[in-house]
Amino acid sequence: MTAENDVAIRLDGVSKAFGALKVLDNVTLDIKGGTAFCLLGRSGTGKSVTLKHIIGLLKPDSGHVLVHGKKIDELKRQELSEVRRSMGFLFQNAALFDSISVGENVAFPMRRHTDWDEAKIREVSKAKLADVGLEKDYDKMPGDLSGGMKKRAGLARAMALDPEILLVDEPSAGLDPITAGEIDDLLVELKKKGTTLVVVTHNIPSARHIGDELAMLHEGKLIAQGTAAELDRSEHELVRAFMRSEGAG
Amino acid sequence: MVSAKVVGAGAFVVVGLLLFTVALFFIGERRMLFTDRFPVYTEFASLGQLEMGAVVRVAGASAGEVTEIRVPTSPGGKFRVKMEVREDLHQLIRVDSVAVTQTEGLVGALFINIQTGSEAQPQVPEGGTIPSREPFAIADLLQQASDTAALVKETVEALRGDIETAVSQVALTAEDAHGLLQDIRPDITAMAKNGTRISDNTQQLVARINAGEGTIGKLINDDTLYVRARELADQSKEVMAQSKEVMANVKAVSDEARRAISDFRSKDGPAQGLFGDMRLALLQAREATSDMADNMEAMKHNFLLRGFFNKRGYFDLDAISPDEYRKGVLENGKRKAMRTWLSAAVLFEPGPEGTEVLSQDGRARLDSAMATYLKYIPSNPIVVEGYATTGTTGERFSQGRIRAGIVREYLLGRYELGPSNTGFISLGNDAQGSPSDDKWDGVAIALFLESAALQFVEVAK
Amino acid sequence: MYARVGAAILAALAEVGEVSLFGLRALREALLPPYEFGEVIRHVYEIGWKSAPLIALSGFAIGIVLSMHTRASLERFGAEAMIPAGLAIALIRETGPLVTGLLVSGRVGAGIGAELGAMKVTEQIDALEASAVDSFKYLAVTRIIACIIAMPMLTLIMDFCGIVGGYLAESTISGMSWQLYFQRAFSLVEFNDFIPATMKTAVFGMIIGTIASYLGFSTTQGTEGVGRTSTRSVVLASMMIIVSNVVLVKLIFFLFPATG
Repeated sequence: MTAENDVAIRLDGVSKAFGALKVLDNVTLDIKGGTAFCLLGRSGTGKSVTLKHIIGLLKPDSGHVLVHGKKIDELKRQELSEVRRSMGFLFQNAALFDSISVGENVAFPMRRHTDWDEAKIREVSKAKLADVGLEKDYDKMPGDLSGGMKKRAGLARAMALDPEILLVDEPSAGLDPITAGEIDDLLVELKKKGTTLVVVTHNIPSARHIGDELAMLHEGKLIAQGTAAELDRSEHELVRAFMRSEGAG
Repeated sequence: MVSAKVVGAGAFVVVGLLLFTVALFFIGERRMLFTDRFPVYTEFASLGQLEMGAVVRVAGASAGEVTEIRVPTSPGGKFRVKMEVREDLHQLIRVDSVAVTQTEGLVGALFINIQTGSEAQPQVPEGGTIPSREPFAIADLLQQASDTAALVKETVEALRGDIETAVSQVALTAEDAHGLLQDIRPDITAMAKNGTRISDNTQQLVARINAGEGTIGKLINDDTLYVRARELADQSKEVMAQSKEVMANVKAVSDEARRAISDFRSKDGPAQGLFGDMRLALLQAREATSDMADNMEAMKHNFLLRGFFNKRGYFDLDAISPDEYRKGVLENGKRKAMRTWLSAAVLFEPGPEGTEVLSQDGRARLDSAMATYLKYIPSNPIVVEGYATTGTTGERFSQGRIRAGIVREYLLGRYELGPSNTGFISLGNDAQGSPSDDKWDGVAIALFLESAALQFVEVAK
Repeated sequence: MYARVGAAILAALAEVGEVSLFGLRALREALLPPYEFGEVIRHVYEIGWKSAPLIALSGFAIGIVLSMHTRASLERFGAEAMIPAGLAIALIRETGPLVTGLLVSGRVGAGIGAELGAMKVTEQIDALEASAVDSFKYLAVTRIIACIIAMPMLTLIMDFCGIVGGYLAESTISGMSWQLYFQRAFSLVEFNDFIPATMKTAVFGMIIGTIASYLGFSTTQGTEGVGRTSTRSVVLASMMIIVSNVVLVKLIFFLFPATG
């Protein structure tokens, strides 16, 4: 925890604007390896943008994003690909490739980045689907799945290559509480296996359940960071109010 | 799942490539790119619109293409055209094969047709050169024909002058050489007659070519046009050559005459021998003028000029069959035929070698028959109808024709009728309305009177 | 007013520039590894094979109509023998390539635009990137290449079916034999008529693929944006095909003067 190596992800003064709209304003934070970090905030406060910066889908206007000490925003395409292979990303709406089957979605990263033979790819992707309880849905098309199943399938795909870091965008959005709870349990499972989790959410109970450390974004600025207990006692009225809420959709 | 798509994509690409190859082969096959070919050359002074890649045919069979056209180095030179021809047609192309440019249909591209050579000649060697016939242009040909006709006219005018000179010179010495004059008079007369025929024909011809040009559009559709136009050009050339010959002959004759006369005057020369030579020269001149007159006649009937004749058809009876004639095509609703029937017994007496010639009596009968007609001439045409009753149908027609011809010749000479207004036709033995039961042996002189004038004639009768 | 017109012109120019750069980038990336052969094959199947029935049927109908038209005009000159050749030349040189281009820009352009647009708004493109896959190469380049491959093939199918259609129309009227018809059809067609005209459709393919992919990638505003992208793909691609055809035909005349 003291060594620099323990920091899996570091945002160093990151700012980002879309046109006149400033989404991130000099955000600096460290995320330790093997922990679950929950980024809180109301809709449109730059939570998802932060996630996309971490995986290099967006580049900061100023400042740097470091993953395992590498500056993501300065990497060449090839190097960036290598870093990305160590990360998984669960999109808000799962973003399953809808032209191929659920199983193929999970197999996709394996086909792209491993030299495994067909049998092994099939075996592993079935196992990944089994982990999220979808082993029977291997040959279904994404369009035939419900929202929760899609999300679980997306999680299976994100975990296909057993990444060290898993980025999760709104795991419970649009899901009923029971299904959301199941997803949360899955994430906790993953954390226990040593995966670094970065979870963007506005669902406070879920954040309390998963997160080792929480942070809150407001108008592009990081206004609080710490454990759930620390945030409950935050001097910032807005943070305390947010932590009290049950997490509105 | 993926494999089905791979198969589909593969099938798609294979079908595409297959179609591409098939199209390439279709085009290539036509251009004979995949068959053995050998080069052969020909040369044209004028290319027409021949282009690189033009199709080459051998006796009409698709054989290859033009692969190179070399421009001549000087204005007098010819374009050298290289053709690649299918090897299997090589045996048909002999050293005397002629390359001709032709057009595919009415609007098609120009191609070269190589005519097969003669059996006796050797095959053209690879890379050899075969003779060509220049591309044919209808306008050029008409120009040529028109020029020829004009030249012929000029020549004939000159020729007439020479004949007149010759005749007058002969006449000048009439007192000195009365006997000589008597002897050569028939020849001179014949020549003068031929000369009249020629110059008449020439005048018509020139007029017709001028009139004929306007109808070219109509003529162009005829696929035999090329042959016909060629004939016309050939005829023109022949007439030209002949008119030159006639000129030379007439000059020779007049020179001979002059010399003979001066010799005769001197009374010490070998007059008799020279006289004989002159006879011969005159005979030749007469034959030449007569041949030329025939050729001019033929030319008049050439296809290209027929349209003109048909317009004024009533005097060009060659284009009308006896049947049509009998049905009254010449009367045409506007004219009525008036006939004078003259029997062969009255008109003719036996001539040499079983021929018939006009008798003295016959001439008198013709003169009296013509007396009625003369006032309607020349605005109303006359047709001499020939009839005969003995022999086969063919013989009857032939004899009828000869009879009508003799009578027409007489009338032309006697009354100076226009040849274009005086026709003749043979009708065999079928003489409707004759005094002897629809059969006739002899001739009938038919005057085609305009209906307006007819009224008057009937009243006069 | 002027400012607005000016801004519109600048925006249009900017878009043309963006599309051109997009196309050039696609060409460059197509040459660099890694190659997405599997995806190219899949799209050749989707774009080519699945368009083939449409193209074949259209070509067939066009052949029949063209045959009737050439007959009507050539009959006046008594040049009925030229009908197959006239039809083949018209089909191979212009009608086939252009109509195929427009049909494909309708079917495939709309398809690519909508598919990529949907992938864009549902974050599937981001998901690809997150999976360490070059989305531009994986999605755009493969489709553009597939279009470039498929267009000449589809044009050949159009030409072929057109000639067959023309044959059916002709044989019902004049009873012309199959062999004679084909022989006459190809009697005036030169390599210079066939090859450049067919190959230019590869450029049409490039235009269709590039415009549709570009618009797909720049789709915003959710499902409504997807519909708009699909429509704009068809309109822009069709227009660009017709305009570029002018330049291409001129270029062909310039490079292969014998065809003029």
